[in-house]
Amino acid sequence: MLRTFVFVFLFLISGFNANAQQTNNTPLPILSGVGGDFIGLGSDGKPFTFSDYYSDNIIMLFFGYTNCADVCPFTLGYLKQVYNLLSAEEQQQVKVVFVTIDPEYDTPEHLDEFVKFFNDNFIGVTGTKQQIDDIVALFQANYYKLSDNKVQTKNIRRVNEKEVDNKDTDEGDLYSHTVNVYLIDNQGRTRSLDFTGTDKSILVTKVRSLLAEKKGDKVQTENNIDNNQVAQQHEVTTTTLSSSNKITVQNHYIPAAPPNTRMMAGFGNIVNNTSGAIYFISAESDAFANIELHATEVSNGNAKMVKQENTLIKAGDFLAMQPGSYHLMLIKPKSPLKQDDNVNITLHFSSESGENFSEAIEFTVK
Amino acid sequence: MTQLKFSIKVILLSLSIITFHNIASECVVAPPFVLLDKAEENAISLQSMQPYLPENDTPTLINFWAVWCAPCRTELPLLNKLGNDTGTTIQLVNIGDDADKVSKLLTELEVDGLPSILADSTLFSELDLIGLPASVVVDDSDIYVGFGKLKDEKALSNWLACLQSN
Repeated sequence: MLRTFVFVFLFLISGFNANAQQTNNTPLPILSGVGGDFIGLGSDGKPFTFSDYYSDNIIMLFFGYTNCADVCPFTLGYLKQVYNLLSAEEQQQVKVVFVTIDPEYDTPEHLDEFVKFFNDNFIGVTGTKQQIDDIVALFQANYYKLSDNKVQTKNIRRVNEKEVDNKDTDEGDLYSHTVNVYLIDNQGRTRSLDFTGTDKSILVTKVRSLLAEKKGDKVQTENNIDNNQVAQQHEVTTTTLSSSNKITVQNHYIPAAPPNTRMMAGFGNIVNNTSGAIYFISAESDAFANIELHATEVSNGNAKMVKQENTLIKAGDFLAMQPGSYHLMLIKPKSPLKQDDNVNITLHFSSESGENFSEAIEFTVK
Repeated sequence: MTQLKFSIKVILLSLSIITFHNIASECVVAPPFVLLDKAEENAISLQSMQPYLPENDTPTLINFWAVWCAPCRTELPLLNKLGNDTGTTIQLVNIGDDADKVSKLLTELEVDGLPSILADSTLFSELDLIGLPASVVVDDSDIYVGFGKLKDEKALSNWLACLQSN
């Protein structure tokens, strides 16, 4: 029986991680907790183990389906164009992995026929429903039958109301799903979340930065360079993706201070993952009497700390909190904090449109 | 004083343009597409769409499609018919396929009379579209977007004919 689907897309994860890291020439953050190794069935009919693919390659992975009755997701078309911008040598080290969310319809044969429209190097992944659900969960992606009423219609982009109203008729199941493109390095770590609205050249730049990293790995190993140096270059950065994915915090920590100190500081980069500007309004924590965002300003040779309010972080940009610059001033710890203690700090933001949101981030004392 | 006179002239001219525009775009048929109401973004999109629009400024339907997209393939003959029936200029914009694949399919579907452009997804993304097919109707400075496979041929045909007659 051939079911017809009416599919609707949502940005369930709105991780528009633009080019902030690139312009600042720092490595892409590691989005811990997003992605990992998995198994399924490849469009070539063979068992598919993800780690076999990423160990030698940079991966662009996304979720989709081929049986589009009314609207087809454009992600694969977008990735084809990105792929074509790479040189032949680069293409050999970049794989596009398309995981279907509709394993019932998308048999390996269907998938194979479909991905062949794009590039012979692209691979589709299907599997049992359980396997697909596991992969979706692993990547914190989502798909819902809209008929389960799990997705509010106000979140649906540019779909005629009439179509949504038809969700209970025989027309078929109405699905929504994540339209992110996951950029994954050769260690299987998710390094960036993008979508078809990301400028193609920006995604290409990100792919190249991961290719360069991969090449760096190889050269270092081959030359047997001092291990410390390798460790330093590939120091695992602490990265926390906030629960709503709106912000990512990188390299965040609180320098250890003597006991009975009345002031501590919090450092780290706050990355704005949303597609619009956000304002950092304030912060609070149960561990401190008060928290303020300060910036160190030098005038007449004297450094003084100035309280900051409503600090702007542009779309895709980040606020660098570091010694001598912006920092969280952590006033009056309620109890002494020692090395390796973890402290939850809630950061309050406001979006361009005036919507307020808060993110709880765990900082470690180091 | 001269400046004031000039300003008044400009205001009067603007008013007359606005009034004229209102009369011109009065179409009794409700559009089955969504009218984009962001004037600033429209201006940018219109500029990007210039290469796809006919020189005589008649209402034009731009259809974004791809060979791999099944609903796109099924609506191509309908587009051909709409163009013939209503006199609307239909401009196909294929995204990302090779020229030989495109011409082969258009011949197979007997729609090779429609003007067709091969493009990348720049304009597609600029219009904030995320799926195929998608159709955009441009009438003067108004941009209407229809997302997904075209439905209700009759309503669409009536509307396009109405735009054309104004």
